[in-house]
Amino acid sequence: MGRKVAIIGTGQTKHCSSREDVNEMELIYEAATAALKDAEMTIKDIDAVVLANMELFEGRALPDMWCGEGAGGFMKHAFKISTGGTSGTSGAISGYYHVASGLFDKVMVVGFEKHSEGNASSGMALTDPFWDRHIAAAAIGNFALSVSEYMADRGVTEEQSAKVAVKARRNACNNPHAHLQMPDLTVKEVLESPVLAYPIRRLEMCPQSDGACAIIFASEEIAKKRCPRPAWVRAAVTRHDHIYLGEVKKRLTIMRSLREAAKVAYDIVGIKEPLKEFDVAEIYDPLTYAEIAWYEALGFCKDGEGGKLIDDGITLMSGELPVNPSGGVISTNPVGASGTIRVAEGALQIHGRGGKRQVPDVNLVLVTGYGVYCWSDLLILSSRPG
Amino acid sequence: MGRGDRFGMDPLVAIVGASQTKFEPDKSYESIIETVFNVVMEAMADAGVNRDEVDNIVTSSVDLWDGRTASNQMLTEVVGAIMKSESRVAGDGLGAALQGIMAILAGVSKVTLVVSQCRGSMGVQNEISNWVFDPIYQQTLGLDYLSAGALQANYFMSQFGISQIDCAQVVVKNLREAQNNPYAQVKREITVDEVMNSPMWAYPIKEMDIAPISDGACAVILASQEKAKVLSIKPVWILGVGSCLDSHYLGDRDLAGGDALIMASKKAYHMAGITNPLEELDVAEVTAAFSYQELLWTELLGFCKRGEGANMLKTGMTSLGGALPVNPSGGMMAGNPITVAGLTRLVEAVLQVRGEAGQRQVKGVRRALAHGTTGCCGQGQYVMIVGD
Amino acid sequence: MEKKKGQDELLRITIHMKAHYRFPAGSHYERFFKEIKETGRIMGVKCPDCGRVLVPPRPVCGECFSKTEEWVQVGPKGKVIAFTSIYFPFIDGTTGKPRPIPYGAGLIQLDGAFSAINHILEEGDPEKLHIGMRVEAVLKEKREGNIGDILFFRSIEE
Repeated sequence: MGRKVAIIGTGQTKHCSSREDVNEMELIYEAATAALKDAEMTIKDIDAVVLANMELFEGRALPDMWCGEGAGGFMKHAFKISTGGTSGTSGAISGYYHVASGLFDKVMVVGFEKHSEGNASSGMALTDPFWDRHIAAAAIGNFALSVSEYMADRGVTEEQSAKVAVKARRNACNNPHAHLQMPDLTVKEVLESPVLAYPIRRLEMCPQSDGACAIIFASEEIAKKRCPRPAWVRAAVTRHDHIYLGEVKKRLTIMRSLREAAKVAYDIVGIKEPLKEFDVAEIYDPLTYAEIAWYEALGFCKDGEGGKLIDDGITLMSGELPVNPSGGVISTNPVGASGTIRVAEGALQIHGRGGKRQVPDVNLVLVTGYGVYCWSDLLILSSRPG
Repeated sequence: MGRGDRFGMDPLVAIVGASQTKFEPDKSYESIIETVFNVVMEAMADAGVNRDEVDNIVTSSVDLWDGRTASNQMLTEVVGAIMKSESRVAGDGLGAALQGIMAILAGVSKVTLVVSQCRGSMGVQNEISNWVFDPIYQQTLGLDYLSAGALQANYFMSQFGISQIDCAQVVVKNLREAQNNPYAQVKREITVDEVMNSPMWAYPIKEMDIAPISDGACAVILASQEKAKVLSIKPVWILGVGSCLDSHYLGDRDLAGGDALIMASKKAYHMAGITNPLEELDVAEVTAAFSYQELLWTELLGFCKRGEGANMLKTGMTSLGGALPVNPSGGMMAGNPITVAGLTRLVEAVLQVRGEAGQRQVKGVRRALAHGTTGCCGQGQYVMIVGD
Repeated sequence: MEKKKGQDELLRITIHMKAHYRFPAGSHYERFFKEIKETGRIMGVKCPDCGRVLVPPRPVCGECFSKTEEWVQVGPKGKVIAFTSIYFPFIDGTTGKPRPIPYGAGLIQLDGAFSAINHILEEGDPEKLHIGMRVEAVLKEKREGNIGDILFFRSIEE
């Protein structure tokens, strides 16, 4: 019943720790205008706007009211998706629904976050008031717990984790938008960086960034007319799991929601050997260990071989399946935009607009989104409409 | 717009289940998750589906109103979203309904649960709504929904010569009719004098002109055409939807001009094939957080000419039994659960079409309109037309 | 980040957020905290369908979507299924102040429970912590009826 949908343009701001030169609306405007330029469209072409953001980090309520105009959300349908940590990909999936439904033809999705405004640690602290606030260790503390399980279950090492950090931060150097770019980072440096929450070290964790990312979704007719090589959305699957960390158990080792989402999406597209069939993957990696664990969950390798994948260089730019040519979330993390960036980075690989981070001959891309504790979004993009 | 033209003639999405809580000033006797679980169970029972048959859930709530980050997280278990597709629209419940409708039209879902919840009692409303205004020009002035609403009221009333008494009539009608609504928080016979004598909060808005803040939740279950025909003897079809966002700065908008509502209703009417709403609609449930808004929105929805809203009410046209009853449920004067309001209007519209609205039933309803707003002074507008 | 033309000084507007909330706990949390306060017992609820004992207790088992009504005591001993040591001074959301670092935290599966709970470990040195180790809840002398009534989990020999 649904129509075919493609991404025909993307745009991002330069992500960094603090964009003091712009307010939130202007930040969105930058990304939106970049996407319009990329798609060779004007704002008049856009039928609807979807914003994605975790507004309590900036202390706001309904920021789409104030900032909607920054993305051209004036006198058209505009609303905000705020599905917790997965907001970025959830917003993109909503954009896909908008066009696939037939109600809209050209939809702009903008994920954004301006961590520098407001106090994100307080924002993170504002969890369940009866239970979670007591521990007050934010995402890092929670992840550290899961990492201890994962290391015990699968034997992944600190060195392997550090290699992922090095890959991310070096890949980021090819990405003009990325926040943390460290061309000379070494495994040794990573292992010598301070421990934040055992065993996670500072250089293994994602930053907090200010940034916005815009994507333009279009119907088949428009995509074929306006884009030389559209990135077709072949699957968009969401699965949510438990909300108490203690129920989730084995968040990294198993990550049930991601495994299930992958199974469903792979079935839709007919993927049997993900490592061979995908040309690029943009995985939402809040920290290094998660990336390794989720290689396994996504079926790139058998359980227990995630570490080997990074040791053998399979997921480097030169490897069989480059993972996160953009530098990933580990390099750039404006929370509400991080998921949207994954979708944009996946799409632009198909568009052939990846510049220095372009992987040659990209036809099939895997994109994932993640939110606390165990929420997964997964999209498959292709150069073929299917 | 692709599907717009023939949508109402062959509707592809229906509402097969609907439920609402009683709207109360303070539901602290139970937690939010208990309230939501109960309303979800009722909606599922109403639709005759169990949790396994629901493949997608969309919730509506707002972090700042809930006092926590990613507040939708607390709902996942009780809306049956474990290992399901779930998303949240932060804004009025009708936005979540639109997301659900699109998911079904996109072929991604066959049965979608839409839930909206809000607890007005948990926070201080003028503290919270102040954070909707941009931090650069308007927030630091201390604007909140009430003071901004007062500006809109003043402007609208002076543009069209509408008096405070005209607005008071809205309150009288709604509270009277709310007596027919078992879910209403406030319901009684009152007089215009009582409204006029209530304390002035922000000129020209008086205490009784303000919809009383509530705690509440409601849910609808949407289904694809195929599923709806199997699940329900009387599916209520979505015939048209419209959504539109206006400018943010109060001074940039024509606060009485309502461009966004005109645009949204035009889209919805077009899809539903409606050219004369007054004739072709049988009942309308509109979201009016203040008395003047009911007059303003009914004009902008095209039920009458500009400036004629008050007269239309005076002649009884918008009362139960009139030509086009507006808010036979009592509307928000009967209870204002803030971001839940729009979805509640949809639930009421569904009950009307099904003939299940009890004492507030309008006779022979075939087409109903549900309206919702997000933000201040109706900056964001939603219109949905449903029918048999 | 570069300043734009015309921007000599970057103007920042500071707005302090004062937001007061009263959170309704609901009957399950109320009973949980009441038990801890009055009897020192930690309670969970058992799902009638899957039989799992869930802590914290909640009205619905998310997996089965069934109402939970059977209360069961769990702990006070349990095993650590995940651990960490925090070296970063995060703000404690209940006090507005950071906890003294480093401090240990873990996922503790109390005896009799399916869920693990996220709580503080007395031992803060990761070298002295391992998965599977046995711990016991240490409660405050004067309890108030909130999660802080459990001070931390102490390592025990078993």
